[in-house]
Amino acid sequence: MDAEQQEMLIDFVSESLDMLDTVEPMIIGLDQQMNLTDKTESVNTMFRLFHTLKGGAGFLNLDTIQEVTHAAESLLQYYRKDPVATDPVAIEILTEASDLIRQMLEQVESQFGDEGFEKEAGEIIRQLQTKIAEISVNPNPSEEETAPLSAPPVEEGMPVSAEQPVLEAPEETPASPAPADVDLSNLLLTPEMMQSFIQEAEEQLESTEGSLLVVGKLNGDGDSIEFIETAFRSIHTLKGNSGFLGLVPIEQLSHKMESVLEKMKEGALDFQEDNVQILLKVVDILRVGIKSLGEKQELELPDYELVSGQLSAIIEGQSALPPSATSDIPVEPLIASTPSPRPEPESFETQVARDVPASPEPLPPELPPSATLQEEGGQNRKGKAIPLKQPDIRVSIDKIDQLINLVGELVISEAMVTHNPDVDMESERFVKASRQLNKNVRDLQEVAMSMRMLPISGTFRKMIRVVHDVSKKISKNVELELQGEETEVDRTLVEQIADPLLHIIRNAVDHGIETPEERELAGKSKMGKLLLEARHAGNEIWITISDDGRGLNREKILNRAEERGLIPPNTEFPDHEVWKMVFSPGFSTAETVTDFSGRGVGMDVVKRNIEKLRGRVDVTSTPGKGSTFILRIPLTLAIIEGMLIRVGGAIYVIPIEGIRESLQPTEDVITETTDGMEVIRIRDELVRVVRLHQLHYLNPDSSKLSEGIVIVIEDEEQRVCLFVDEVVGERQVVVKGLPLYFGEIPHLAGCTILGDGDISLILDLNSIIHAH
Amino acid sequence: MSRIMVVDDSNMARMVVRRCLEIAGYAEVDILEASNGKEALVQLKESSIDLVIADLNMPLMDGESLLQWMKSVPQYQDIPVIFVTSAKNSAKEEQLKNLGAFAVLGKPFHPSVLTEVLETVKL
Repeated sequence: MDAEQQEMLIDFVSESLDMLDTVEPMIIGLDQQMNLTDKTESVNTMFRLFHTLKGGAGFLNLDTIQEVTHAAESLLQYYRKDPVATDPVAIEILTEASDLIRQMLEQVESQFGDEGFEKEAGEIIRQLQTKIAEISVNPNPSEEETAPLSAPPVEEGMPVSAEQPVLEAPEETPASPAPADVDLSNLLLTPEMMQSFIQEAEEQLESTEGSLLVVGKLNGDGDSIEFIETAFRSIHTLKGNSGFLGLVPIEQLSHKMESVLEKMKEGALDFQEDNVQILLKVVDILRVGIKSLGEKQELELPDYELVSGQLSAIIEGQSALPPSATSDIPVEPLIASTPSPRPEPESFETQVARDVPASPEPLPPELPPSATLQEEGGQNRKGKAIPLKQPDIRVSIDKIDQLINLVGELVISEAMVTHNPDVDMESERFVKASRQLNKNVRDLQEVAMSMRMLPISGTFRKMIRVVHDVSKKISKNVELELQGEETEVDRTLVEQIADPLLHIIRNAVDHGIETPEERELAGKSKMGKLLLEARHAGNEIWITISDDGRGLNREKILNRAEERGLIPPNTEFPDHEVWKMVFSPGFSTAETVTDFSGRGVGMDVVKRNIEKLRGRVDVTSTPGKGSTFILRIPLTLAIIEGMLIRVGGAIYVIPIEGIRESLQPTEDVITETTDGMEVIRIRDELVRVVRLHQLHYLNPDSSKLSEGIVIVIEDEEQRVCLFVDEVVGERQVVVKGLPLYFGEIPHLAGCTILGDGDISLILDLNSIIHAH
Repeated sequence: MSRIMVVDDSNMARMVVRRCLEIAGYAEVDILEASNGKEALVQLKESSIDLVIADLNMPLMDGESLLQWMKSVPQYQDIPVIFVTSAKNSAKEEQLKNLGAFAVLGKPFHPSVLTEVLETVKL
């Protein structure tokens, strides 16, 4: 026996002894009064541990240990079905078995073998089997249950659901005759692996879904093959991974999906909409399955039989090739058995050509610089290698929020120190030190904030499916274009924005975009267009949903509003006010869906949800041309760059993104328009003046424009001059919400605490710009 | 100390191989990871690697391309490459062996299968 094997045995012993330490108190605990759930759980745990032990022992040729553990496992197998049936005798026997295993393990540790215990083992096994025979409802427990070396029970295919498997392994389950296939999953599985599996599976399904949707749309044209290949690769990986975890049903479904995709790739199967539909359904089911694994540690696959049958039908019905190569996929011996009729994917050659240029310089220049950590591997005591690509770790969002709050506090503390009136600001050393501190705090803040940011693509991608489903259901052709998917937003936003978005998009497809016939009559292309765009605009994220449909119907909206008593009859309203009406509560009812072809289904809810995020929704619409919804939501940035300004005794913060310039106007640039509006001419442009002291009823140092400062603030649409007394300076400020008891104060976005402890109000530039 | 590089685009699959190596008692080896052929190339260049265990189907650069590349560069052509794939069939295996693959394992595999192969590689 070489050193490696010895090492292996020693590892096995130490792991097994740990397991026994867990098992023993449980065995004894069975005797005590226990509620059924606890009892079931501990029987299951014991079963699993014995099972794992058995696997390990088998792997290491420790036959006696394997036989004893198997017998113990078999007994526990009965108790799993009926945990109440445990009795003191059984507990005694199990305890003895556990003691014996411990003795054997101790011998293995010193002598690397479990020989010499055959007699004791035989006795214990006999006792265990007698007990099994005694308690078994079936007086003749099957060979399998008692034979010491039989395969594990079927349920073990699903390592995470030791209890009732929700699914029986389907018939086509690859039989696993290879002796090597003993409880692979139990031996291998670690909780991290399961987590990683779930996480990856979600990504794989998302990628598959995305590609399938495109394939459905392209209908066999253009780059269909490329997308099929992407879907194929994702599903292929899912299949491989689920195989390792013994998640047979997932493996089966993904295998069948893979076969379908492969046929599509080869051209043996066309990209029929129906086929794509079924594949999408399978994706949904798999998603449910993965979710159930994550949440309940149990695999639930609704409609498994149904879709599995449908997939088989597609595979068989369309081709003379054998149903699938299922049986030679899992656990193959090293030497392949039957030649498979499946041709090689053609992609290999092309990929080779693409990926490996035939140039003598083997490394393409665009290779990413790699963060190699392997040098440290050398110091690694037990060879637990350090991965090159550091995997991510999961941190609870609470901790991150806490961190962000602390960073916020730190920013305030920093200001308190660096702007402290008692400090000698002339001191060069102090200035240098505070500059350093400031830089570090900013970097820290940036990192902390980025931890909570996610690209919006996940939410956007979901909409592809929504558009697909809705348009299919009502027989419309709609193309969804996504822009700015990579835009990063706070993760809380990502979640909360999905519902309103869904609502608007559904409405757009359902009511906004016309049927292909109507579109043709209107001289538009049959394919309706829907654009979903995200981008950062100043301190906000703007999400635009625009369609090229029929637009909002002014008449109908007004009629409806009158009907609902929302507006007095026969009043004139400008367009933008009419559009706003669709957001009024009570505007929508169930009958709007049928009677009313405009918009307004549940839009009040959309508005409310967006307002909860401190955002707002705007609509513009042109009859016959389409409508555009814009959601403007402040990035929930807790810390912003601001300009401190003073008016009378009040210090305000203006978010720096909104500031274009500031200037001291001379008399000759100040004019008044005929309707009495003050404007300042800045480089041939007349800009309206807003006096902050008037907005908030303050006493300015001077009300003469030429004696103060005007700050030109702007948004996407226009700019105004904000008249203030003076500019105090630039600061990083932590945004705090205004206390509720203040009520609604116009033109404020929040408040902040300054370095000297004073409170300063943060101006909401948008509302100031649009104030008049 | 010998060094094994595991190349697979699935983190989970890399974990499995890692775990298999652990179970098989390869505690004294240094395990590096790469998530596709291109990353693997970088790794090969930067550290001396004694064995590569790779997936076939990967984005950016697949296992087969990686193998072909390795075989075309004198300093890497002797490093054994073991493929682990769920798309295993004899034609594919034949093809890979012809290209110089050391072994081809079907996914999922039992740790002992990997051990057996590893024993034939002198690390």
